[in-house]
Amino acid sequence: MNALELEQVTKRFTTVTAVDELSLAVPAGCVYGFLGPNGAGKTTTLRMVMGIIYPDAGTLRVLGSPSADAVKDRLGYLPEERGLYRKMKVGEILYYLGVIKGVPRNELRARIDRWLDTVELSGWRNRRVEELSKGMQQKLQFAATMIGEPELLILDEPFGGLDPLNVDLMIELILDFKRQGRTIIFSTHVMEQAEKLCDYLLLINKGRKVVDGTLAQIRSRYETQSVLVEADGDLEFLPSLPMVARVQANAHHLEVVLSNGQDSQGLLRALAERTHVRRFEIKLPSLHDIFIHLVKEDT
Amino acid sequence: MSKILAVAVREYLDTVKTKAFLFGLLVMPALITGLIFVTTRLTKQSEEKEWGTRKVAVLNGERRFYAALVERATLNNEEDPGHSVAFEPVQAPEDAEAARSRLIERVRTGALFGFLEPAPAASAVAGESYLFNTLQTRERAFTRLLRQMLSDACRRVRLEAHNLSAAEFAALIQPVDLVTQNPVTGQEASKAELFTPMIFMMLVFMGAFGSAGGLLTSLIEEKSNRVVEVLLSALSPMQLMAGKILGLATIGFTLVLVWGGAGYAAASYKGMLHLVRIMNPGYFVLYYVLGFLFISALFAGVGSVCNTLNEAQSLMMPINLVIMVPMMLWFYVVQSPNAILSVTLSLIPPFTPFIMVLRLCSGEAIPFWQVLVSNVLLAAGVVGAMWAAAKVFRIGILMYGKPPSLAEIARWVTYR
Repeated sequence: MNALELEQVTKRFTTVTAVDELSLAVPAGCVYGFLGPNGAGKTTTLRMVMGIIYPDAGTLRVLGSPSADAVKDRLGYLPEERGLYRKMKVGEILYYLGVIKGVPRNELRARIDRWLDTVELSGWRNRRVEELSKGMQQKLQFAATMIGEPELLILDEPFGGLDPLNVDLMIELILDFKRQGRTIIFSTHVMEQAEKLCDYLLLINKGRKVVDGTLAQIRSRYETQSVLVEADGDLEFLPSLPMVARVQANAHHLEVVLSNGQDSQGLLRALAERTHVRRFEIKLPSLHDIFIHLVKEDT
Repeated sequence: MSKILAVAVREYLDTVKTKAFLFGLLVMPALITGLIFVTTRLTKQSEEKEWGTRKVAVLNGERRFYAALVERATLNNEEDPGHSVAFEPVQAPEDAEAARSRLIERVRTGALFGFLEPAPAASAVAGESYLFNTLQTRERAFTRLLRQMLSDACRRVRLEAHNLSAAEFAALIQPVDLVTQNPVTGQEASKAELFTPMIFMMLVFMGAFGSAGGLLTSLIEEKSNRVVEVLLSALSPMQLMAGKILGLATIGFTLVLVWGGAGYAAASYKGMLHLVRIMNPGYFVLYYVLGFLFISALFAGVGSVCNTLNEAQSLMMPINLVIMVPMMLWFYVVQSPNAILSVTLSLIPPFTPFIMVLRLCSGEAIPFWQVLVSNVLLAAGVVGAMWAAAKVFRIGILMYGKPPSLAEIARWVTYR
């Protein structure tokens, strides 16, 4: 079952098309990453998913419902632009957000305790939001997103402005959520986190889907067909081999780019015949490389 | 519904807990009452301040006139010894200038409070116009007393010329008394009656604007704090708007209850309850609620598109101008509640609550069909304004940057 499906969704603002016929499916129980440069349409898409704005064309299904309005209580949303009532107390604000998220009042107290404990803010319950440091406010905001214990959690740039300790806390919470069988969608332009966390990825640029799938699928599609080689002996012959397109020398190794459609095993045999091979590694493209490559290609 | 209530409760508590609200609720009326009380008291006190005996010289006064003046002063001094006046004749027909200089000198040293002299253009009879020379030119109470004495003395002289006594004359010119009363209530008319409708209108006005103004600031706060997106992930824009308006309506009711209650208490203390009873409380509540909803819809629309209070103020200008109309016309409407202008204005939604409250308090009979039609039109206006506001609200609430122009806002309303 899919937690979220988008079909040909389009959103236009006066002069720009922010999201252009975007289709995607997010399987339930996975971590799904929205990748894309600034202005790619990530936030607009997430806002449409949350029912904060409506698409001009196309359909979406959120937790099986044709609009988020009917299932808002089962969704959690952490907007990119964080904000809380500055004059309210930490406990009060969680209570208020819990109530409007439809959490039963008799359960709410215990939940507030639990989440304040999780984000290490237990001692701050009766302090005003404005007294908290920026990092603490971020954690409180995260707790506020989680207070409804949503089935589908949508995080817009969740790691923006967090220190490494809090990034780790956040990653742990996201993985913990996934273990409970919930679905997490987050947007980011930091590829390392996406690589670490996501089961599925979507790369969008200028409102259009560039590629989507699992990390392995995307990688295999964009394999650059190059091999990292370290060997003892004379390697001058390499560029003249028929399967080699070009050779790039780095400090400790050579990067051998194969000609189109050539098998790396042929190169390995040729190398083994003439030299002593110490390292032969098929280079996996990093998400970072794919991202840059695709975005550049797109523009 | 429970979400709307939660928003309303938060809004209510958030506002009620602020110092500004407490100030508006309690201190403002107290301050206004206090100010009125203190100023009337002070004026009265200064007028009642006793001065003992003040000496006034009369330069070249005609003999009979002077005698009448002294007699009048004696009468006054016996009645009110704290405010006595003593006259002193100074006759210097040949050398008036020198006598005048001497008098001025005495006024300057304080030996004399002032001196009277016939005004240059005075007629020969008994001097109808006088000049009073004094350093205390702003002592209005004394001037009033002096004028009274001079007039009385002059009349006396004139009457004697016709061989009439003052008592005979008074009987001859006895004026007719006329009392205005309302045959339905049996109450006599008073000046206060004219102001009661205005006070009721002000109550609607302040209750509605005081709380709808809160809507504006709280919306702008939520936008600039960026809380609004978090809220919209849990609520629909309609729920958010409805909750806010409900919360602020309750605040407005608190204000109106406290102020109205204080007014009622004051009226009953002063024995003027009949003035309060001319307004049917049911109508008052009806017009207040509808008026508040209309205004808050406008404010919600404006608040949602603005990021700062400054921006809001410029968009509020046209709304404020419209709302000022009843303020400027209240006197006319109270006096002519059934004139064409009054009736027409009372049927145009933004004016209806104010103008109708004025008309209904004016004491004249207002045709029931007008009450009915005004309510139907106002209710339709509220529905329309809410619908438009909701349209603007859901687009505006997520807009940052330059606020839209009125033309753009109008375009949003027509979006599907």
